[in-house]
Amino acid sequence: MASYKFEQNCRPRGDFRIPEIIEFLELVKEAFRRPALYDSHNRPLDLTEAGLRRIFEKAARRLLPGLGANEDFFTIPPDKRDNNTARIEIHTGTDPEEIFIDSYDISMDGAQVPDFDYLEKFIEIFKPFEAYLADDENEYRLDSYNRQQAIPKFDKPAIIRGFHYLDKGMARSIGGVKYCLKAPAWHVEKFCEGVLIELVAGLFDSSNPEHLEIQENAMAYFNLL
Amino acid sequence: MIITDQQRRWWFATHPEFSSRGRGQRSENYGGSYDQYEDSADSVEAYRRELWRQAIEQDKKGLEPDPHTFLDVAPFGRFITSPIQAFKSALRRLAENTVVSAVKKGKGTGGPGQWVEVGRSRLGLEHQSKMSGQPIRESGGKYHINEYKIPTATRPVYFDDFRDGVLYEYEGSYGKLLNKQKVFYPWVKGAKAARDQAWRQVKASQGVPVVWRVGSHQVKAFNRAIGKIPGLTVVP
Repeated sequence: MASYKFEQNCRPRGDFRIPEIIEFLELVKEAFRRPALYDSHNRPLDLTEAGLRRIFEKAARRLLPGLGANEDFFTIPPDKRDNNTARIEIHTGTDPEEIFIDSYDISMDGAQVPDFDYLEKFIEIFKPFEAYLADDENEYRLDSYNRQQAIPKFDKPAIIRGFHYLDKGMARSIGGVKYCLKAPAWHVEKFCEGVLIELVAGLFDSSNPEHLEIQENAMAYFNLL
Repeated sequence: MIITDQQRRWWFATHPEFSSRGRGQRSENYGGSYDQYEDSADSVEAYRRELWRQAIEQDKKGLEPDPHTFLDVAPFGRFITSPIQAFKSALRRLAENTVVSAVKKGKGTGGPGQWVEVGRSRLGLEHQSKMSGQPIRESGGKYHINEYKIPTATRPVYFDDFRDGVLYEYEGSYGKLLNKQKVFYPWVKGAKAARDQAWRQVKASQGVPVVWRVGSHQVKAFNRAIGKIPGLTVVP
């Protein structure tokens, strides 16, 4: 099964967004049916405001001022080396003056991808300017990393993924919400503060030629090829 | 050392290729012949000087003089030319090292930081040394290597290399931590450390491009692990 990463990109606010992170992590536990989440030392996570603030303040000291904090959490203690583990990668607290962004991601195996309803709830918590479920193989095939590097300030999506949310500003960068709603995809709807594009029903599979053709058509429609 | 005539006769007896019958054959390399010189000490010396001059000319063209040529005309020279050759080789090595050192120093100038020696764990250090050309120095059981340091307001940030206006970080093999899709297993804890380092480096680089050089099959893994950091490129 392919590897996937659910990514949520937010414009920096300068704070750690602790309340949103607590809500997000509580929902992650539910989505992955786990009683607790763990830190990199295999300790159960203290999902309180004070507990998380302590973690992020410590993590921020490892970076430079203005960069915020990086922290990873796990659905299974990482020392068990269980491939069913999902890793929650959080970068938060970036200074708005910086060129960087905040992100709230989940790396997981394809078999672990939760119901899309949960992904939508995650989006409603953080209200990111962009969120998507990325198939690792597809990302590499389309060189999304370097495409993104060529886009200043993350002003435009690098590619269109199987499950892709764009806020109004991002939607405007590829033709506007109305234009997005007419995209050649399985399902497109207004959602949260923008538009949600689902290229295919269910998980996008980069080994499926039909899925790749649909993606290519959608990217051509948005002039992203 | 050969001193007496008896020793000399024994030497020629056991080395017929250096006897007078062989003269003029092996010296063709340098376009001259011993036979054109008279068999006197001055002539031998003159011929030797001529050979040496030709050897220097050849050397200027990038060719090594054949030290055995001297032995054709002066068997005793073997005991003289060997140390000369050794001395010459040592000088050449010294000269080469001097040039390499100058290049090493020059390649890191003009950037936002400076080269400093730092202590590092042995793990992955050989790969770093091989890629950056900086030697590993062992002292008291600890390992040291030159890295490119950029000071910041709070803490310095180190890079493995700086050349041609690009800051480099060299990553070794993490093959055992990659899954079938060639990305890091989700339980890998080191992904955060890589992200931390990448963020620090891009912030400290002050706009100088930062490149991470990784194994050819690890580009995808690092792209995914590092995530969304503008200004950082991952190349094989």
